[in-house]
Amino acid sequence: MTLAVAALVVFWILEVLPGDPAATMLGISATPETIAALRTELGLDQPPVARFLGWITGMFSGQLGISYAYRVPVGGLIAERVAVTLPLAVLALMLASSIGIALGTLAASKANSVIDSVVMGVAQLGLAIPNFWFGLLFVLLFSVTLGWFPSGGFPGWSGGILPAFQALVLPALALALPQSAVLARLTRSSLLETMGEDYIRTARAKGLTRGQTLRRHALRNALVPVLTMMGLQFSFLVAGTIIMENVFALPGLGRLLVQAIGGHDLILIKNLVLLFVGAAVIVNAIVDIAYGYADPRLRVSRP
Amino acid sequence: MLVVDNLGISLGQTRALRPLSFSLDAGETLGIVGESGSGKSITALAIMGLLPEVMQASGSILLKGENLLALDESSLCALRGRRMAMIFQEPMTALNPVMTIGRQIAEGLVLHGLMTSEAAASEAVRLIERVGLPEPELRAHSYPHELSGGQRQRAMIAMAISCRPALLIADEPTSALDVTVQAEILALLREIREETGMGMLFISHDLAVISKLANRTLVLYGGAAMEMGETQALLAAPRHPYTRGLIAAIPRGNAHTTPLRPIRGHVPELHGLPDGCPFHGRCLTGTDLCRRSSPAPDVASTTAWCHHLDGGQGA
Repeated sequence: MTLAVAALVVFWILEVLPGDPAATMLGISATPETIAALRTELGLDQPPVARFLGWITGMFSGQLGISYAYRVPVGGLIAERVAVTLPLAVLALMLASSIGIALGTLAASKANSVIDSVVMGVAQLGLAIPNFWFGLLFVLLFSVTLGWFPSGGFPGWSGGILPAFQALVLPALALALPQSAVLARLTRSSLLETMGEDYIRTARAKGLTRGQTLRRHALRNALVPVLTMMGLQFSFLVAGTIIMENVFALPGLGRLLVQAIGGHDLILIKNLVLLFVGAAVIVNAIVDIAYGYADPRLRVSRP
Repeated sequence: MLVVDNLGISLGQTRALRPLSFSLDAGETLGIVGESGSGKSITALAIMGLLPEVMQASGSILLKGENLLALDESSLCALRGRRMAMIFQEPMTALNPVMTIGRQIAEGLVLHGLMTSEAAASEAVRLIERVGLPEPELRAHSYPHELSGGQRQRAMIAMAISCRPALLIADEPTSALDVTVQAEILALLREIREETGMGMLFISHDLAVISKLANRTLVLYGGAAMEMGETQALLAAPRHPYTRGLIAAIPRGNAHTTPLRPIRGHVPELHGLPDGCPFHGRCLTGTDLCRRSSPAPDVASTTAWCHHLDGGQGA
């Protein structure tokens, strides 16, 4: 349902967008005749409803259409780029959650201490700094000065996992840091709130130290709002990959989208945007499933 | 076994509890009765060493000769759950919602090094059966929200007695439960006390509940002791005006013929309370003396703290 609405909105926005893809493709020297011929070839002369239905039915049969600019099937083009962007997003999400939850837990366990203030101060800084700037800084430090990681480009997965992974570490970290700052703050406040619950007192009465109570009893309860936030953040993460792929010259979906927009490659744009929407829907479904693991009260029925 | 000597608790300038002394033998139950804010719950928390950080305790609490107030946090952790355990009022919120009942019960046994986790898991099932929950195997894998209030309180009791503590503190264990379930839980506590010989501090605002379980009763009001003695003697012949008011306020008989007798006035704020008897403002026999100075204990059939033990009708 969400996807259907998204498809309609995407299609409609691109429809009202000014500029003729056929004219853009042929350049300024094109004659009205050649433009008209290309429009017929691309199917742009058909009414919008027919083109929309054609797109949707094509999607179900795996025929996403031919890219106007690249002249190759959109499906293959996207699949090639997903192999870069998906690992990047997953790596960034993993980094963001592990760094964020670890720092948030540390700050909460030493609440109102120097460590707490330092961690929260750093998190505030992480929130304030945009991710592309982190990217540029990382390139300067780790690539140019230290030479640990490549400064950009992507060797592809065929050359082995390690070089490909190395190419993704810096952009993923740059993407993850601002997100982990949000997660750290949320984890801290959620944990401190949970530490005031009655069952925390019960755990303390059992003989657990404050630290043990925090890790064994409070953390899992405190993670439910953190999970929600991670689901919401995924959209920002995807938006971030668009920027980061351009900073690090990674041949991913984000760069493809930017190029497609530049070239008025409407068919590529609408498929890419729909893919991003689909990814967000899937991630939120995963978050819903994860709720059940985190909190048994949210399970519909016992297995 | 437990000797509390001149235990005082302060919150900044406010005295939450005035110096209080009592003792408890193994196998004995001391009931502590009082209204909200009387200091009964913080007394329990002080013994467990779980007072909120803003509160300071003074005096001494000896558990089997060891002064709990002088112990550091790690020594206290070793005692909590092992030598002394506590049952809380709200069975709905006092159990961790994301952990199975069995694991919560077994946790203490493993923590205090009494058992391996496998042995503790089967001991948890045994304890669940002991506290009278049906289908113990199944209950061990249940989460708290799948149990009723009474069942959760039974699980709390199983958790508290798992390490066979010498002292069990029950803070309003039945107040949040239905009356029929209350009676069952009280019976269970009495059974377990007989079986294990542990000493029990039973805290309640309800004299009727206290009278079913406690050998001796301590009446607290406004952070100060009012009266203490054998429960039967105290109920049969209360000497302190407050105790008399408390007993008279218990509803009984036909509502149409017997008027309810509340104690007049309200519980005073502890902050800025004068030095004298905290009850003087509501007491029918209160005089200027009551406002100025704390009464000394008067030992007769019970011990009472009042300047005017032989006068008046109380509240």
